[in-house]
Amino acid sequence: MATALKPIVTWWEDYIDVSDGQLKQRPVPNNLWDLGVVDADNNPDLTTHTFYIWNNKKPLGTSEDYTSVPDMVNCRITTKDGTFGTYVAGEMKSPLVKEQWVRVANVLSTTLPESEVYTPIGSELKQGVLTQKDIQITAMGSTDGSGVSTGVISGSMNDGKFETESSKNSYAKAKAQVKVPASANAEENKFIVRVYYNV
Amino acid sequence: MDILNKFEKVHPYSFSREMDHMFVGEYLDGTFLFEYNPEKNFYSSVKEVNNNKLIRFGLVGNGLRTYFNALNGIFTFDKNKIEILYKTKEKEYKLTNNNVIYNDIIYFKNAYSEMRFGGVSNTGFCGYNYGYKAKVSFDDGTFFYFKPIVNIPMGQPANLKIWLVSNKDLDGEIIVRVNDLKTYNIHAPLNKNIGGELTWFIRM
Repeated sequence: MATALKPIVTWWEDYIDVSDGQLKQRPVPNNLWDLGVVDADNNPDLTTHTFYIWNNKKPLGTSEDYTSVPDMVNCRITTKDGTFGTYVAGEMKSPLVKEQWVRVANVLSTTLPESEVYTPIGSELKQGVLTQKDIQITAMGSTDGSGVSTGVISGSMNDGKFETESSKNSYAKAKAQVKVPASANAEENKFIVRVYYNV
Repeated sequence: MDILNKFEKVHPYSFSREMDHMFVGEYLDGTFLFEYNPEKNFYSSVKEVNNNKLIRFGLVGNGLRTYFNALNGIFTFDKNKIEILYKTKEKEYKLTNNNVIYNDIIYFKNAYSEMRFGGVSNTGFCGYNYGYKAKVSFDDGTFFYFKPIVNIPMGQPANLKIWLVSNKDLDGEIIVRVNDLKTYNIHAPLNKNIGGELTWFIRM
């Protein structure tokens, strides 16, 4: 019996469609979260951005070879350095990562808006060792089925629609924001938002 | 080295270009299940391994063969034999090479997906893990739940994660014995029914 080797991960985001002013979803353009200029000591709420991490989202139209892929298990989200200045992609040394400027709230179907908790992610010193600091993320979870286990994004076939209850097992919703400390230097920052998982 | 060990003859590179290591299950009748079948071009899930027929299970890739023997739980890493014991002042508990079958296999890959400044999206494997879990009992009434997992992260040293829980308070050490000769002792007191994990970097 053949199985797919990898989950098929795509990143989507909320945006406002200027033609009708409605909140819609689209693939993250250029796979890039462009924050523009963020001032030091900013109000993080104004930078809040909603991301969706889909596993095996059904492509538009008919596709005959659409099948199930492995679940993503023990999903964890964190930030890493991008390539800029003297920083090397994938490391954890830039101020944005080390000082944990980015904070993330994982939103489940059952999460009430007032109980969304933002947790800073990046890296931290543990006993003198720079260690990854991440949080676990879980698919939103359908409320009328069995849902998913903690930390899992299902790879089952779905209809690719955000609002379908059963499809909520196939994507995780994460709201991210940036809080730049007052002490930060005015400089360019590039970073990677990464989801680690097991297959 | 066992003459009938066919695992040691398997080409030590992943058969698939999509991954650096892949799992290999060797059965008692001398047949194999490979994670990737290059002839038919498909992947198999670890759930398809027939545990009852298994004799060896592990990984090949990057020139390395590493596996454990399902009959005695002893690991082989690049032809080096690795056994694990737990030793108190009074007694030595053999966690591998005990009278159980070590065929409750564990296999998973670490992967990531990222959103990256610069617009490049990629998903890659960054680690490969295999091992087993077993309940090992002794005639003094002590038993252990024992879960050793070999972890091969990309770009970092390979290590062995040993998860252990016992039904008694024990003040002892975990002993990793390599090639029947060299031992690495790690002090690891255990509280009854509380699991502990340690990471031992594989060295000879």
